[in-house]
Amino acid sequence: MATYRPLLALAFAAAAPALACSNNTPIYFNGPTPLLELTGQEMIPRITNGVQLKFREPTDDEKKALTDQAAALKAADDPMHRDIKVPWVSRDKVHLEVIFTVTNLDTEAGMFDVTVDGASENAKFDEDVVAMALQQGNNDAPTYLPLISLHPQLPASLGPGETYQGIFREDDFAEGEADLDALDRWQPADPMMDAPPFPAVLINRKDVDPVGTEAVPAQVVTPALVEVDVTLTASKHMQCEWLVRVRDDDDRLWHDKADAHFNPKPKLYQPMIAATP
Amino acid sequence: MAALLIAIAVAPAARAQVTKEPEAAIFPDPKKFARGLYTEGEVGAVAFLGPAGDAVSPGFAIGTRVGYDLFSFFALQLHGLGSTHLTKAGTRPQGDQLIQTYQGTLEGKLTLRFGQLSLFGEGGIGVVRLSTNLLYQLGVEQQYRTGLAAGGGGGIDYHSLSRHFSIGLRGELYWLRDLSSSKDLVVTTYLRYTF
Repeated sequence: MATYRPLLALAFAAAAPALACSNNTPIYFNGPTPLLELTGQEMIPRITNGVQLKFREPTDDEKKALTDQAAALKAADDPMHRDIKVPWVSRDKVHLEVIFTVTNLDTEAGMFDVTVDGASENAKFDEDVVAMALQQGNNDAPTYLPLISLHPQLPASLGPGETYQGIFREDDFAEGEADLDALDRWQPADPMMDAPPFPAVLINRKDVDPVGTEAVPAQVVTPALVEVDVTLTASKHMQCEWLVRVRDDDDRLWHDKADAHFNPKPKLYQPMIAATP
Repeated sequence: MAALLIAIAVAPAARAQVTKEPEAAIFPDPKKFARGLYTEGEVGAVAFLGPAGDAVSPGFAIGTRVGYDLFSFFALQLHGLGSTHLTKAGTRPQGDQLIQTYQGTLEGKLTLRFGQLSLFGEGGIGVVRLSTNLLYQLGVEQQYRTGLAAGGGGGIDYHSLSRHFSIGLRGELYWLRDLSSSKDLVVTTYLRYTF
């Protein structure tokens, strides 16, 4: 046996990179076709499309584990003993990234922006709906507040024929998913009285300024997005192609026809806007 | 006189005088290393040809073989090979993504020996698996990431003065049925250990 030990060590050394590589198994989903495209002549130069990610229904054992985890969070970790539902598609198990390319098809330079909205299994965020809510009672131009943006890198200018490649990274999604969960589940009961304006939740990164997330339980399990919506804004004729990259730690994406689909019904997030006195 | 003749008759035959030292390097007998269990570790490169070649860049490869010389000229071996690549898709977002391939084959190997050198040819059948579904999104691969692989190649082996070790160079071409009948060219150098 002693004779073989160096060889066994060599074999394990050779196998280690292969095993490490096997952890890198993302699944990709192309954005819908036709691609996002604007001619530069639109009254509102914005266009959106989205991908609904399909997940499998949890098994009975997995449902019980989620229930047990929620009970443990309520009993031990939250001093207020609130009900903390543990989502099936959670941020710590499902990691998203969007990779996109914008091409200027025009003969002149123009400005563009790409933003991401979406829905968790609990709530859907649509920046068009939010902009309409913000616009109520005034004639100002709509203000669009995306769930996830690359500001201040974008908006940017793109010359004729040029291409821009960008990534909404996993940490960008983690931030947006936490924002959506904070707005959906953890706002004070009377938002008119003591809640900060909801844009503060979207604009500030939690690690810099956790404004508006004070009520979020420390051990909350944040839902990941199950729907990804990408919006292109452009002042000239431009096209955007994108795809979603998913790292699915616990094999929760649906791929086996024997499994039932997980069909959440997220409710549309409607911001509470304080009336102007 | 008679005594002298008797002495000559019974004396042992005279031996030739050694006029040079024996060779310091004695090449081991192939009968001792060309039989039985062996392992190989290999490093090299994998390049795709055909439709997958338009979508995947050549990449670094590492592999291993475990085989058994049934005869001095024929062996059966299991081969595992992993390689890592970047996708090619121009300016599309599917480009420049990491993708790994894992190939496992059962092979037969024929060897022709010339002292320390030997030439060999080998071929087999197995499976190839991709780490992601990106080639499906690029229209190269079918829905499933595991497919049939078959092919072979050959190489040259140099056996060291140690009974156990040899090194070599090999090239192989595999047909990948489920990657739109693409092919991959594998070129590796290896270290072999015979037990």
